[in-house]
Amino acid sequence: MKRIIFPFILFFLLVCEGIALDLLPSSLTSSEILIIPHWVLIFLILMAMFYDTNETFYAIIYGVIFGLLIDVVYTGVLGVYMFAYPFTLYIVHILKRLLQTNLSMTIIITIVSIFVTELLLLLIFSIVGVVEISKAHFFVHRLLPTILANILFLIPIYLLSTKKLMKWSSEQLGK
Amino acid sequence: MSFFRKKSLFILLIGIILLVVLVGYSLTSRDKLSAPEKFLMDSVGWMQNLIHQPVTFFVDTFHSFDDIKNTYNENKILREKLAEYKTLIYEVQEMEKENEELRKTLDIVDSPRDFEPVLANVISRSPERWLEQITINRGTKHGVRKNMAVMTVDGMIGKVTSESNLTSTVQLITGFDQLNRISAKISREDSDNIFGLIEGYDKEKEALIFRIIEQSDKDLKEDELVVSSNMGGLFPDGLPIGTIKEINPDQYGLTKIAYVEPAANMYEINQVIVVNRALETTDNIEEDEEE
Repeated sequence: MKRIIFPFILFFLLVCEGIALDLLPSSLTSSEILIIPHWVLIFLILMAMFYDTNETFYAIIYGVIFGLLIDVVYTGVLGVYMFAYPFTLYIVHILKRLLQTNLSMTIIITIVSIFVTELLLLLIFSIVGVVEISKAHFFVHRLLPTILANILFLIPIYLLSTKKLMKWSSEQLGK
Repeated sequence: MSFFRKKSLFILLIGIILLVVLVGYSLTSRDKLSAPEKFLMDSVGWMQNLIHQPVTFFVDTFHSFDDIKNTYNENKILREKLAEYKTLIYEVQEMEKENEELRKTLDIVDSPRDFEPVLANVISRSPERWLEQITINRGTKHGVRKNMAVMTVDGMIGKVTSESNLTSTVQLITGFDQLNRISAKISREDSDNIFGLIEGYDKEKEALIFRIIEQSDKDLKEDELVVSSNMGGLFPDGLPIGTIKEINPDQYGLTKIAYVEPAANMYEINQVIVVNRALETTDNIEEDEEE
Protein backbone atom coordinates (compact mmCIF):
# COMPACT_ATOMS: atom_id res chain seq x y z
CA MET A 1 0.00 0.00 0.00
CA LYS A 2 2.69 2.47 1.00
CA ARG A 3 4.59 1.75 -2.19
CA ILE A 4 1.61 2.87 -4.25
CA ILE A 5 1.15 6.14 -2.40
CA PHE A 6 4.05 7.94 -4.12
CA PRO A 7 3.00 7.25 -7.71
CA PHE A 8 -0.53 8.15 -6.69
CA ILE A 9 0.43 11.53 -5.17
CA LEU A 10 2.73 12.34 -8.10
CA PHE A 11 0.07 11.41 -10.63
CA PHE A 12 -2.43 13.59 -8.82
CA LEU A 13 -0.01 16.54 -8.86
CA LEU A 14 0.68 15.93 -12.55
CA VAL A 15 -3.02 16.12 -13.37
CA CYS A 16 -3.43 19.23 -11.19
CA GLU A 17 -0.62 21.00 -13.06
CA GLY A 18 -2.83 21.02 -16.13
CA ILE A 19 -5.64 22.71 -14.28
CA ALA A 20 -3.44 25.09 -12.27
CA LEU A 21 -3.67 27.87 -14.82
CA ASP A 22 -7.45 27.99 -14.59
CA LEU A 23 -7.19 28.81 -10.92
CA LEU A 24 -5.02 31.87 -11.39
CA PRO A 25 -6.78 35.18 -12.10
CA SER A 26 -6.89 35.87 -15.82
CA SER A 27 -5.06 39.19 -15.41
CA LEU A 28 -2.02 37.16 -14.38
CA THR A 29 -2.24 34.49 -17.05
CA SER A 30 -2.89 36.85 -19.95
CA SER A 31 0.03 39.11 -19.14
CA GLU A 32 3.54 38.43 -20.36
CA ILE A 33 4.47 36.76 -17.09
CA LEU A 34 4.76 33.00 -17.38
CA ILE A 35 4.26 31.01 -14.22
CA ILE A 36 5.04 27.35 -14.61
CA PRO A 37 3.81 24.97 -11.92
CA HIS A 38 6.59 22.49 -11.05
CA TRP A 39 4.56 20.66 -8.41
CA VAL A 40 5.76 17.20 -9.35
CA LEU A 41 9.34 18.39 -9.09
CA ILE A 42 8.73 20.00 -5.70
CA PHE A 43 7.32 16.82 -4.25
CA LEU A 44 10.23 14.88 -5.68
CA ILE A 45 12.67 17.33 -4.09
CA LEU A 46 11.01 16.73 -0.72
CA MET A 47 11.23 13.00 -1.40
CA ALA A 48 14.91 13.25 -2.23
CA MET A 49 15.55 15.20 0.95
CA PHE A 50 13.42 13.40 3.49
CA TYR A 51 12.64 9.96 2.10
CA ASP A 52 15.75 8.85 0.27
CA THR A 53 18.78 7.87 2.28
CA ASN A 54 22.25 8.54 0.91
CA GLU A 55 22.25 5.21 -0.89
CA THR A 56 18.75 5.13 -2.38
CA PHE A 57 17.64 7.02 -5.47
CA TYR A 58 13.84 6.63 -5.46
CA ALA A 59 13.22 10.32 -6.17
CA ILE A 60 15.45 10.19 -9.25
CA ILE A 61 13.74 7.06 -10.58
CA TYR A 62 10.32 8.67 -10.09
CA GLY A 63 11.79 11.78 -11.72
CA VAL A 64 12.52 9.81 -14.89
CA ILE A 65 9.06 8.21 -14.98
CA PHE A 66 7.03 11.32 -14.26
CA GLY A 67 9.26 13.53 -16.37
CA LEU A 68 8.47 11.28 -19.30
CA LEU A 69 4.78 11.41 -18.41
CA ILE A 70 4.82 15.23 -18.43
CA ASP A 71 6.54 15.11 -21.82
CA VAL A 72 3.91 12.82 -23.27
CA VAL A 73 0.88 14.54 -21.82
CA TYR A 74 1.78 18.21 -21.82
CA THR A 75 4.54 18.98 -24.30
CA GLY A 76 4.66 16.32 -26.99
CA VAL A 77 8.44 16.72 -27.15
CA LEU A 78 9.73 13.56 -25.47
CA GLY A 79 12.77 13.50 -23.25
CA VAL A 80 12.96 17.14 -22.16
CA TYR A 81 11.45 16.94 -18.69
CA MET A 82 12.58 13.33 -18.48
CA PHE A 83 16.16 14.60 -18.60
CA ALA A 84 15.73 17.86 -16.66
CA TYR A 85 13.98 16.44 -13.59
CA PRO A 86 16.39 13.58 -12.73
CA PHE A 87 19.38 15.83 -13.42
CA THR A 88 18.05 18.41 -10.95
CA LEU A 89 17.16 15.74 -8.40
CA TYR A 90 20.68 14.36 -8.56
CA ILE A 91 21.98 17.81 -7.61
CA VAL A 92 19.47 17.88 -4.75
CA HIS A 93 20.75 14.48 -3.69
CA ILE A 94 24.30 15.81 -3.49
CA LEU A 95 23.29 19.08 -1.79
CA LYS A 96 21.32 17.35 0.92
CA ARG A 97 24.41 15.52 2.12
CA LEU A 98 26.17 18.83 2.63
CA LEU A 99 23.33 20.87 4.13
CA GLN A 100 20.98 20.56 7.05
CA THR A 101 17.40 19.64 6.30
CA ASN A 102 15.10 22.31 7.66
CA LEU A 103 12.57 24.66 6.08
CA SER A 104 14.93 27.47 5.12
CA MET A 105 17.45 25.04 3.62
CA THR A 106 14.64 23.32 1.72
CA ILE A 107 13.56 26.66 0.29
CA ILE A 108 17.11 27.44 -0.82
CA ILE A 109 17.51 24.01 -2.38
CA THR A 110 14.16 24.40 -4.16
CA ILE A 111 15.18 27.79 -5.55
CA VAL A 112 18.43 26.29 -6.83
CA SER A 113 16.67 23.29 -8.38
CA ILE A 114 13.96 25.30 -10.13
CA PHE A 115 16.71 27.58 -11.40
CA VAL A 116 18.62 24.59 -12.77
CA THR A 117 15.48 22.98 -14.24
CA GLU A 118 14.34 26.16 -15.97
CA LEU A 119 17.79 26.79 -17.40
CA LEU A 120 17.92 23.22 -18.71
CA LEU A 121 14.45 23.60 -20.24
CA LEU A 122 15.48 26.89 -21.87
CA LEU A 123 18.67 25.30 -23.17
CA ILE A 124 16.98 22.23 -24.63
CA PHE A 125 13.95 24.05 -26.04
CA SER A 126 16.10 26.74 -27.64
CA ILE A 127 18.41 24.13 -29.21
CA VAL A 128 15.38 22.32 -30.56
CA GLY A 129 13.95 25.60 -31.82
CA VAL A 130 10.69 25.66 -29.91
CA VAL A 131 11.44 29.01 -28.25
CA GLU A 132 13.39 32.05 -29.24
CA ILE A 133 13.65 34.33 -26.29
CA SER A 134 16.22 36.72 -24.90
CA LYS A 135 17.92 35.81 -21.64
CA ALA A 136 16.83 39.01 -19.90
CA HIS A 137 13.22 38.42 -20.88
CA PHE A 138 13.47 34.85 -19.64
CA PHE A 139 14.83 35.89 -16.26
CA VAL A 140 12.30 38.64 -15.60
CA HIS A 141 9.15 37.14 -17.08
CA ARG A 142 9.56 33.46 -16.50
CA LEU A 143 12.25 32.48 -14.01
CA LEU A 144 11.49 34.87 -11.16
CA PRO A 145 7.69 34.50 -11.14
CA THR A 146 8.02 30.73 -11.46
CA ILE A 147 10.39 30.47 -8.53
CA LEU A 148 8.22 32.71 -6.36
CA ALA A 149 5.00 30.86 -7.17
CA ASN A 150 6.56 27.47 -6.57
CA ILE A 151 8.03 28.53 -3.22
CA LEU A 152 4.51 29.53 -2.21
CA PHE A 153 3.41 26.04 -3.12
CA LEU A 154 6.36 24.42 -1.37
CA ILE A 155 5.64 25.78 2.10
CA PRO A 156 2.26 24.10 2.72
CA ILE A 157 3.46 20.89 1.11
CA TYR A 158 6.57 20.96 3.29
CA LEU A 159 4.52 21.38 6.45
CA LEU A 160 2.10 18.63 5.44
CA SER A 161 4.42 15.97 4.19
CA THR A 162 7.89 16.05 5.74
CA LYS A 163 6.97 14.20 8.92
CA LYS A 164 5.15 11.49 6.98
CA LEU A 165 8.02 11.16 4.54
CA MET A 166 10.55 10.76 7.35
CA LYS A 167 8.34 8.20 9.05
CA TRP A 168 7.93 6.16 5.86
CA SER A 169 11.62 6.47 5.21
CA SER A 170 12.58 4.96 8.57
CA GLU A 171 9.89 2.27 8.18
CA GLN A 172 10.69 1.21 4.65
CA LEU A 173 14.33 2.05 4.10
CA GLY A 174 15.68 2.06 7.63
CA LYS A 175 15.97 -1.69 7.91
CA MET B 1 34.58 7.07 -4.73
CA SER B 2 36.18 7.39 -8.13
CA PHE B 3 34.17 4.40 -9.27
CA PHE B 4 30.99 6.15 -8.14
CA ARG B 5 31.95 9.31 -10.04
CA LYS B 6 32.59 7.31 -13.15
CA LYS B 7 29.26 5.56 -12.79
CA SER B 8 27.27 8.79 -12.46
CA LEU B 9 29.13 10.30 -15.40
CA PHE B 10 28.25 7.23 -17.40
CA ILE B 11 24.58 7.56 -16.49
CA LEU B 12 24.66 11.25 -17.41
CA LEU B 13 26.05 10.40 -20.83
CA ILE B 14 23.40 7.76 -21.40
CA GLY B 15 20.82 10.33 -20.31
CA ILE B 16 22.04 12.87 -22.85
CA ILE B 17 22.05 10.30 -25.63
CA LEU B 18 18.53 9.21 -24.68
CA LEU B 19 17.45 12.86 -24.65
CA VAL B 20 18.78 13.50 -28.13
CA VAL B 21 17.21 10.32 -29.50
CA LEU B 22 13.81 10.97 -27.94
CA VAL B 23 13.70 14.65 -28.89
CA GLY B 24 14.74 13.74 -32.42
CA TYR B 25 12.09 11.06 -32.56
CA SER B 26 9.28 13.30 -31.35
CA LEU B 27 10.21 16.24 -33.57
CA THR B 28 10.29 14.32 -36.82
CA SER B 29 7.04 14.98 -38.58
CA ARG B 30 5.23 11.85 -37.58
CA ASP B 31 1.60 11.45 -38.42
CA LYS B 32 0.41 9.55 -35.41
CA LEU B 33 1.33 9.12 -31.79
CA SER B 34 2.80 5.80 -30.75
CA ALA B 35 0.52 3.35 -28.94
CA PRO B 36 2.02 3.83 -25.45
CA GLU B 37 1.70 7.60 -25.81
CA LYS B 38 -1.95 7.24 -26.76
CA PHE B 39 -2.54 4.99 -23.79
CA LEU B 40 -0.92 7.48 -21.41
CA MET B 41 -2.84 10.39 -22.92
CA ASP B 42 -6.09 8.50 -22.50
CA SER B 43 -5.50 7.47 -18.91
CA VAL B 44 -4.29 10.90 -17.83
CA GLY B 45 -7.14 12.47 -19.78
CA TRP B 46 -9.63 10.34 -17.89
CA MET B 47 -8.25 11.56 -14.57
CA GLN B 48 -8.17 15.15 -15.81
CA ASN B 49 -11.79 14.88 -16.80
CA LEU B 50 -12.65 13.67 -13.33
CA ILE B 51 -10.81 16.44 -11.52
CA HIS B 52 -11.55 19.22 -13.95
CA GLN B 53 -15.31 19.18 -13.53
CA PRO B 54 -15.51 20.16 -9.83
CA VAL B 55 -12.72 22.67 -10.36
CA THR B 56 -14.48 24.45 -13.22
CA PHE B 57 -17.69 24.40 -11.20
CA PHE B 58 -15.86 26.16 -8.38
CA VAL B 59 -14.21 28.66 -10.71
CA ASP B 60 -17.47 29.34 -12.54
CA THR B 61 -19.42 30.10 -9.38
CA PHE B 62 -16.62 32.43 -8.38
CA HIS B 63 -16.84 34.18 -11.74
CA SER B 64 -20.61 34.44 -11.59
CA PHE B 65 -20.36 36.75 -8.58
CA ASP B 66 -18.43 39.11 -10.77
CA ASP B 67 -20.92 38.70 -13.56
CA ILE B 68 -23.89 39.69 -11.44
CA LYS B 69 -22.38 43.14 -10.98
CA ASN B 70 -22.34 43.74 -14.72
CA THR B 71 -25.70 42.21 -15.44
CA TYR B 72 -27.74 45.39 -15.56
CA ASN B 73 -25.54 47.15 -18.10
CA GLU B 74 -25.12 44.07 -20.22
CA ASN B 75 -28.84 43.47 -20.25
CA LYS B 76 -29.42 46.95 -21.65
CA ILE B 77 -26.97 46.45 -24.48
CA LEU B 78 -28.20 42.97 -25.23
CA ARG B 79 -31.78 44.13 -25.57
CA GLU B 80 -30.77 46.66 -28.17
CA LYS B 81 -28.85 44.02 -30.04
CA LEU B 82 -31.72 41.57 -29.85
CA ALA B 83 -33.96 44.00 -31.68
CA GLU B 84 -31.40 44.20 -34.47
CA TYR B 85 -31.07 40.45 -34.63
CA LYS B 86 -34.76 39.88 -35.20
CA THR B 87 -34.61 41.58 -38.54
CA LEU B 88 -31.29 39.89 -39.30
CA ILE B 89 -32.67 36.42 -38.65
CA TYR B 90 -35.39 36.98 -41.19
CA GLU B 91 -32.87 38.16 -43.76
CA VAL B 92 -30.53 35.23 -43.09
CA GLN B 93 -33.33 32.72 -43.45
CA GLU B 94 -34.34 34.15 -46.77
CA MET B 95 -30.74 34.17 -47.94
CA GLU B 96 -30.13 30.59 -46.83
CA LYS B 97 -33.15 29.43 -48.74
CA GLU B 98 -32.08 31.28 -51.80
CA ASN B 99 -28.53 29.97 -51.46
CA GLU B 100 -29.75 26.39 -51.20
CA GLU B 101 -31.93 26.75 -54.25
CA LEU B 102 -29.14 28.28 -56.25
CA ARG B 103 -26.80 25.51 -55.17
CA LYS B 104 -29.29 22.90 -56.29
CA THR B 105 -29.52 24.46 -59.68
CA LEU B 106 -25.73 24.44 -59.91
CA ASP B 107 -25.40 20.86 -58.56
CA ILE B 108 -23.01 21.77 -55.78
CA VAL B 109 -23.63 19.85 -52.60
CA ASP B 110 -20.75 20.71 -50.28
CA SER B 111 -19.38 24.16 -49.99
CA PRO B 112 -16.08 24.96 -48.35
CA ARG B 113 -18.04 26.90 -45.77
CA ASP B 114 -19.80 23.81 -44.46
CA PHE B 115 -18.35 21.99 -41.54
CA GLU B 116 -19.21 19.20 -39.15
CA PRO B 117 -18.79 20.32 -35.57
CA VAL B 118 -17.62 18.21 -32.63
CA LEU B 119 -18.24 19.82 -29.26
CA ALA B 120 -15.52 19.35 -26.66
CA ASN B 121 -14.49 20.47 -23.21
CA VAL B 122 -11.01 21.68 -22.38
CA ILE B 123 -9.62 19.41 -19.69
CA SER B 124 -6.16 20.84 -19.23
CA ARG B 125 -3.75 23.48 -20.37
CA SER B 126 -0.09 22.62 -20.75
CA PRO B 127 1.89 23.93 -17.77
CA GLU B 128 4.77 24.47 -20.20
CA ARG B 129 3.62 27.90 -21.29
CA TRP B 130 6.05 28.21 -24.19
CA LEU B 131 4.16 25.58 -26.11
CA GLU B 132 0.63 26.99 -25.80
CA GLN B 133 -1.20 23.69 -25.90
CA ILE B 134 -4.51 22.60 -24.48
CA THR B 135 -6.03 19.14 -24.17
CA ILE B 136 -9.66 18.48 -25.03
CA ASN B 137 -11.82 15.53 -24.07
CA ARG B 138 -12.65 14.31 -27.57
CA GLY B 139 -10.48 12.01 -29.63
CA THR B 140 -10.44 9.71 -32.64
CA LYS B 141 -13.43 7.88 -31.23
CA HIS B 142 -15.51 11.02 -31.63
CA GLY B 143 -14.19 11.84 -35.08
CA VAL B 144 -11.42 14.28 -34.22
CA ARG B 145 -8.45 14.06 -36.58
CA LYS B 146 -5.14 15.79 -36.93
CA ASN B 147 -5.10 19.28 -38.46
CA MET B 148 -8.74 20.04 -37.81
CA ALA B 149 -9.51 23.62 -36.87
CA VAL B 150 -10.62 24.36 -33.33
CA MET B 151 -12.74 27.35 -32.43
CA THR B 152 -14.75 28.86 -29.64
CA VAL B 153 -17.94 30.80 -30.14
CA ASP B 154 -15.91 33.96 -30.71
CA GLY B 155 -13.47 32.64 -33.28
CA MET B 156 -10.70 30.31 -34.19
CA ILE B 157 -8.25 29.33 -31.47
CA GLY B 158 -6.01 26.69 -33.02
CA LYS B 159 -5.71 23.31 -34.62
CA VAL B 160 -5.45 19.69 -33.53
CA THR B 161 -1.82 18.54 -33.48
CA SER B 162 -2.20 15.03 -32.14
CA GLU B 163 -5.02 12.78 -31.12
CA SER B 164 -5.49 9.70 -28.97
CA ASN B 165 -8.66 7.68 -28.59
CA LEU B 166 -10.38 9.86 -26.04
CA THR B 167 -8.39 13.10 -25.94
CA SER B 168 -6.57 15.33 -28.36
CA THR B 169 -3.99 18.07 -28.14
CA VAL B 170 -4.71 21.48 -29.62
CA GLN B 171 -2.02 23.95 -30.57
CA LEU B 172 -3.28 27.48 -29.95
CA ILE B 173 -2.75 30.06 -32.71
CA THR B 174 -0.70 32.14 -30.28
CA GLY B 175 1.86 29.31 -30.33
CA PHE B 176 1.98 28.94 -34.12
CA ASP B 177 5.26 29.30 -35.96
CA GLN B 178 6.39 29.47 -39.58
CA LEU B 179 5.62 25.80 -40.08
CA ASN B 180 2.04 26.09 -38.90
CA ARG B 181 0.55 28.80 -41.03
CA ILE B 182 -3.10 29.50 -41.59
CA SER B 183 -4.31 30.84 -44.84
CA ALA B 184 -6.59 33.74 -44.12
CA LYS B 185 -8.38 36.50 -45.92
CA ILE B 186 -10.19 39.76 -45.47
CA SER B 187 -13.57 39.56 -47.03
CA ARG B 188 -14.55 42.41 -49.31
CA GLU B 189 -17.46 43.14 -51.52
CA ASP B 190 -17.00 42.84 -55.27
CA SER B 191 -14.77 39.76 -54.85
CA ASP B 192 -11.77 41.89 -54.04
CA ASN B 193 -10.79 39.64 -51.16
CA ILE B 194 -7.35 40.14 -49.71
CA PHE B 195 -5.49 36.88 -49.11
CA GLY B 196 -2.60 36.23 -46.82
CA LEU B 197 -1.05 33.97 -44.23
CA ILE B 198 -1.10 34.10 -40.48
CA GLU B 199 2.55 33.44 -39.79
CA GLY B 200 2.90 33.55 -36.06
CA TYR B 201 2.32 35.49 -32.94
CA ASP B 202 4.06 38.67 -31.86
CA LYS B 203 4.37 38.42 -28.10
CA GLU B 204 5.26 42.07 -27.59
CA LYS B 205 2.31 43.38 -29.59
CA GLU B 206 0.06 40.54 -28.42
CA ALA B 207 -1.22 40.11 -31.94
CA LEU B 208 -1.02 37.61 -34.78
CA ILE B 209 1.20 38.42 -37.73
CA PHE B 210 -0.82 38.47 -40.94
CA ARG B 211 1.30 38.73 -44.09
CA ILE B 212 -0.60 39.76 -47.17
CA ILE B 213 0.49 37.83 -50.22
CA GLU B 214 -1.83 39.36 -52.72
CA GLN B 215 -2.08 43.09 -52.95
CA SER B 216 -5.50 44.50 -53.42
CA ASP B 217 -6.18 47.88 -54.92
CA LYS B 218 -7.87 49.06 -51.82
CA ASP B 219 -5.90 49.68 -48.70
CA LEU B 220 -6.40 47.82 -45.51
CA LYS B 221 -8.27 49.47 -42.72
CA GLU B 222 -8.03 48.94 -39.01
CA ASP B 223 -10.79 46.97 -37.28
CA GLU B 224 -11.43 44.87 -40.34
CA LEU B 225 -12.30 41.23 -39.72
CA VAL B 226 -9.84 38.53 -40.77
CA VAL B 227 -11.35 35.12 -41.43
CA SER B 228 -9.89 31.74 -42.35
CA SER B 229 -9.77 30.80 -46.01
CA ASN B 230 -10.15 27.39 -47.56
CA MET B 231 -7.14 28.00 -49.81
CA GLY B 232 -4.84 26.23 -47.35
CA GLY B 233 -6.85 23.07 -47.76
CA LEU B 234 -7.16 22.46 -44.04
CA PHE B 235 -9.75 24.71 -42.54
CA PRO B 236 -13.30 25.56 -43.53
CA ASP B 237 -13.94 28.93 -45.06
CA GLY B 238 -14.98 31.89 -42.98
CA LEU B 239 -14.04 31.09 -39.38
CA PRO B 240 -13.37 34.42 -37.73
CA ILE B 241 -9.76 34.80 -36.57
CA GLY B 242 -9.50 38.39 -35.38
CA THR B 243 -9.57 42.07 -36.17
CA ILE B 244 -6.76 44.19 -37.59
CA LYS B 245 -5.03 46.27 -34.97
CA GLU B 246 -2.06 47.77 -36.77
CA ILE B 247 -0.69 47.81 -40.32
CA ASN B 248 3.00 47.97 -41.22
CA PRO B 249 4.88 47.58 -44.50
CA ASP B 250 7.14 44.50 -44.45
CA GLN B 251 10.90 44.81 -44.37
CA TYR B 252 11.28 44.97 -48.17
CA GLY B 253 8.34 47.30 -48.66
CA LEU B 254 6.71 44.98 -51.17
CA THR B 255 3.80 43.73 -49.15
CA LYS B 256 2.14 44.64 -45.93
CA ILE B 257 2.01 43.02 -42.55
CA ALA B 258 -1.07 43.47 -40.47
CA TYR B 259 -1.20 42.75 -36.77
CA VAL B 260 -4.38 40.91 -35.94
CA GLU B 261 -5.89 40.79 -32.51
CA PRO B 262 -7.39 37.32 -31.95
CA ALA B 263 -11.17 37.35 -31.70
CA ALA B 264 -11.30 34.58 -29.12
CA ASN B 265 -9.92 34.89 -25.64
CA MET B 266 -6.96 32.50 -25.45
CA TYR B 267 -6.88 32.32 -21.69
CA GLU B 268 -10.39 31.51 -20.69
CA ILE B 269 -11.30 28.63 -22.88
CA ASN B 270 -13.77 26.08 -21.57
CA GLN B 271 -15.91 24.79 -24.40
CA VAL B 272 -14.51 24.46 -27.88
CA ILE B 273 -15.83 23.29 -31.24
CA VAL B 274 -13.68 21.09 -33.44
CA VAL B 275 -14.61 21.69 -37.03
CA ASN B 276 -14.07 19.32 -39.88
CA ARG B 277 -14.32 20.48 -43.44
CA ALA B 278 -17.31 18.78 -44.97
CA LEU B 279 -15.74 19.23 -48.36
CA GLU B 280 -13.27 16.46 -49.05
CA THR B 281 -9.74 17.72 -49.25
CA THR B 282 -7.33 16.32 -51.77
CA ASP B 283 -5.63 14.34 -49.01
CA ASN B 284 -8.85 12.62 -48.07
CA ILE B 285 -9.62 11.73 -51.63
CA GLU B 286 -6.18 10.20 -52.07
CA GLU B 287 -6.62 8.17 -48.92
CA ASP B 288 -9.93 6.90 -50.10
CA GLU B 289 -8.46 5.82 -53.39
CA GLU B 290 -5.74 3.89 -51.60
CA GLU B 291 -8.34 2.01 -49.62
